[in-house]
Formats: sequence, structure tokens, C-alpha cells
Amino acid sequence: MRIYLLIILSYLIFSPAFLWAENDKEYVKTTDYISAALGAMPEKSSVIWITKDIRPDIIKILRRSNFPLRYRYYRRGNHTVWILDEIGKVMPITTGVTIEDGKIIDLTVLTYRESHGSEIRFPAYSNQYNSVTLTNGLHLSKPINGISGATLSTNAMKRVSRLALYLHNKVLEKDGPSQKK
Amino acid sequence: MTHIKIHTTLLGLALPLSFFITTSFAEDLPSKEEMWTMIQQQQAQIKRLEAIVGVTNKALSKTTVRLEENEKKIEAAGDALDQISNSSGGKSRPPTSVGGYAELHFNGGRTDQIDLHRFVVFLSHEFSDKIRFFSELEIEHAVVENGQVGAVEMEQAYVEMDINENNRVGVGVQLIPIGILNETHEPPTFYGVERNNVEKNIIPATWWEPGVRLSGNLTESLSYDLMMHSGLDTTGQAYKIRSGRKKAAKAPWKNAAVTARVTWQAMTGVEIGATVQYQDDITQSSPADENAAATLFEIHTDLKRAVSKNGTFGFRALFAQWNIKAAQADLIGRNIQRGWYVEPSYKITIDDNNAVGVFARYSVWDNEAGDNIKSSFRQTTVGLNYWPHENVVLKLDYQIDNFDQQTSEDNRINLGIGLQF
Repeated sequence: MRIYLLIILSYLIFSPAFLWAENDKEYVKTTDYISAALGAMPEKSSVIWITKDIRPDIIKILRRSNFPLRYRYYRRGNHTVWILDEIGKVMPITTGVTIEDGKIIDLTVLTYRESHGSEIRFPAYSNQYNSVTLTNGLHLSKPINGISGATLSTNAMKRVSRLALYLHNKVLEKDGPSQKK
Repeated sequence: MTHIKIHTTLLGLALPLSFFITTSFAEDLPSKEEMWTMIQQQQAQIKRLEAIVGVTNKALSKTTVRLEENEKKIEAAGDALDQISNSSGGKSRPPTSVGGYAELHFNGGRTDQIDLHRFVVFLSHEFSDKIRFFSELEIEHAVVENGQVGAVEMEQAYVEMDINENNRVGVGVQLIPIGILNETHEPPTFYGVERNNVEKNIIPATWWEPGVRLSGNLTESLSYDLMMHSGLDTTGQAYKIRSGRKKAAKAPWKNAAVTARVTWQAMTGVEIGATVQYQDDITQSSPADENAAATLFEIHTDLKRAVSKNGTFGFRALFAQWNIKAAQADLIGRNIQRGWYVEPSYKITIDDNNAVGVFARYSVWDNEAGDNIKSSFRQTTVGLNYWPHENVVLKLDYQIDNFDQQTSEDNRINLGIGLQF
């Protein structure tokens, strides 16, 4: 029994080294996500600053007062793409959110670093966000089911989607809707 | 005839008049010299205007350059401030994260005590996109010194490395992949002040061991865990499972254990999981006890589905059983140790910050189920959780005991406050 266990143990410990030699990083790259969402990678990102007037709403969405001074986004016509980090349990989850005219058309987890709940990366979970909008009360327009054992990660996803929708709406309010499609 | 006369008369009047006008207009025109002077003045005016436009363009260029410089400075200042505030979402993100949870309990009935049951700190570090470190340090029952019931426990300390997008390996002290509560037990995530007795006494949660764990996703809805880890040592504990945990403190490796789990996400919010564990001797070949091969089987479902805009229906059910092959275990009925529970619940989200949920749980467990002597514990618990924030919970429940050993019954109210961050 012991010899078999030692063989398994050795394999498990060294398996990453063997496999890394053949596998490069396979997470979705941010630039690939943006290019796919907008048709091409824009030359530069745009920035929305979290000014005094919108700060209370961001606090309401994120449930904390500690967040960046500005958020970057990419825009083509009325499409905007947001790459956002939000902590689940202890590690940040990097998520790409694509929005058109105030409606989520895609939510993809680009990098998941938590030890549990990686199922949120898959379409069975993320497709729930398709066509979701933001209500006047800054809530999602429909309920989202969670993943067992990953309550904090699914809560983080809800915050990210609400934030992206809110910022998208502010960008369109500020710059006006584009005629380009 | 009349028309011809009228035309002739008009022509006679028009000719002298046009001559008069032409002569007087020619007299009003500037001379050639005057025209030349005017042209020169206009040329000079154009040159002056050109000079003014040139200056304006230069000023505009300078302003544009300054604007670009200012934009760069603002971006740099923003980056610096984001770094100072350690905010997520900025360009740079700190690789080290801190989290934790805590719970304070009041137990009524004959127990009649208040206890800072757990205070836990998570410390994690991301070395690279592929390599991360997780740790969990816990203080139980507040005071740790001789004669006190408290303990300081290192429940997790391991490095996790990604093999590829769907597979990863963890090396170090880790929670055993089994049950519902063993890996996720932050107070706001479960109902009831105390953790349920089935997972506590049968699995036994919280259970952690040093070892190597391979985890991953076989499909989008099917995941697996395979862990080889140090095993239990029930030497001198009469095969009592919970007392056999060595908690990574010089744990014997002589008879290690293997745990395999498969989890199926049947649909969003619905998980079904099953675990099998085998250890060829849970006495670690101690001469004090007979060798005992042990197999643990566990199956559970954890359901949490939104049934309305504000309502979530929950249902948890779990069954677990140990089979221990040892004649001594047979004698005291501990060759079979089993338990199960069902727990329906309903949660209403009131607003952004407030939610309330009610639950009922029926549990049965028996650590001496291998004989005919009645030794089972049956417990019914009803209660509610109130969340004033998604990460803070106030709990109230009432437990009704129905034990075969009636002297151990303690029907009581439990109160608790818990949090996570």
C-alpha cells in the first residue's frame, strides 16, 4: 500500500512540472477577450473617473468605500467592455463584461484564483447574466443562482456585473449614444 | 399703331438718361493710384491676420502638449493613489490578501454558556498566475493555555499550482474534500448557530490533513478531487473517528489515506457530491490496537434556487457512513458509524443590506451503529438567520434532542453572531 501511495504522491507533486512543459497558460487573455467583444482591439482605453456625484452609487453597489479612482473601459459604438477585479473569498477574480445599450451581452471569468467554486467560469453559470439590465434601484433585473461552496465568488460576480452596467450607463449618459453600430 | 408710338417715345427718353448715369458713375470710381493703395493696404491686413493665426496655432499646439502632459500626470497620480489605497481594479493589485471569519455563541439549556467559538484569519499570496498560497489560522474558544479548552490550529497552509486551465494540484495542509461544511463553513454561509452534528461527529468536520490534492473539472458541470493525505490515528480512542484526527501535528504517515470526490453541478444552484475514502489502518499499526482498515462513504446535495425576485429556496441533505474492519470495533459497535440529515430553508432578501431566512433540520447520527444496542442521536433544530449585511449574520435556533441515551439530552436555545470578510 505504502509504495503505491508514494508513487501517486510523487506523480501528483511533480505533475505540474511535466505538464507545464507542454501547456502554456490557458486562461482567456484580456486582449483576446476585448478583441473578440469589439471586433478589434481599440488603440487605447477610455477612462471614467469616480466623481463625487457617482461615488455614493458605487459604494452602494460594491458595499465598501475603498475602490479605484477611475475605471478603464473599451468602447465601440454602444458596446463597452469592462475588465474588473473583485475579491471572492480571498483572491481577486478577473472578469470581462461586455455591455450594449445597458444590457449585458457577455460575462466571462478571465482568471479565477480562488481554491473553490471554479464552476463560475463556465457558461452554465455565466450565461445567467445575458440580457440582464440594471434596475433604478441599482439591482440586477433578474435573480442569479449561485454555486454551492462559492457563495462569496458568486456575490463578487453580482457586484461586478452591477458595477459594469452602472458605469456603462454613465458613459452613455456623459458621451451620448453612438450612431455607429 | 398705338404700341409702336409708345415704344418710340420710351426709347427716346431712355437713351439720354443712360448716358447721364454712366457719366456720373465713372466720375465716382477710384483712380488707378487709389486702387493700388487700397490693394496694398489689404495685403498688409492679410499679412497681419496671418501672423495672428500663426501665433494662435502655436499657442494651441502648446496647449495641446500641456493637456497631454497633464493627462499623463493625472494618470500617474491616479495610479499612485490606487496603489496607496490597495484598491482592486487598478492597474496594480497587491499579491497578498487577508480575510477571515469569527463567531460568538450562546448556548442555553443545561449548557448555559457564552463562547467565542472561533476566530479565523485567512492569509493568501499569489506568486504568479499559476502558483498561489492559502492559509487559515484559527483560535478556538478564545483562551489557549493549560486547563483551558481553547486551541490554536493551522487548518490550512498549502501551495496550489495550476497544471492547466482545468486542473490544479495543492501541496500542504488542506481541508479534506468531503461533505458540505468541511470546506465552506463561514458563519454567514450556513443555518444554525452550531455546525450540524452529523458532519461534526461522523465525517468528522472540520477535518484537515497534510497531503497532495489533485483537483479539476472533467466537464463544465463535473469536477473531481483526488487527495492523498495523512490518515486518522484512533490508537487508544476506541475507534472514535473524531478523536483520530492528528491535525497535521507530527501526523503519522505510516498508513496514509486516499480520498476521492466527484461533484456534479446539475444546474445552477444545485450540487450533488459523493466522496469515498480508504485508509488501510486507522490505528497506524499501533501494537496497542488491532489493525483496522476503514472506508468512508459520503453523499450530499446542496440546493439553493431563486424562486422569486427576493426568495431563495434551499435544501441540504447528507448521508455518511464509516465501515471499519476490526474485531475490536465490532465488539463495541463502532465498526459502523453513520449519520444523515435533511435541512430545508427559505431566505427572503429584503433590500441591499437585509435578508432573513428560516430553516428546519432533522439529524440522526450514531457512532456505534454496528451493534443492536440503541445508541443513536436524533435532533430536530428550527431557527432563523438574519443578515444585516451579506457578510454578517445573527442566528437563533432551538434544538430538540431525542437521544437513546436520554441523560445527554439538552433541549435549548442557541444564539449566535458571525461574520466573514
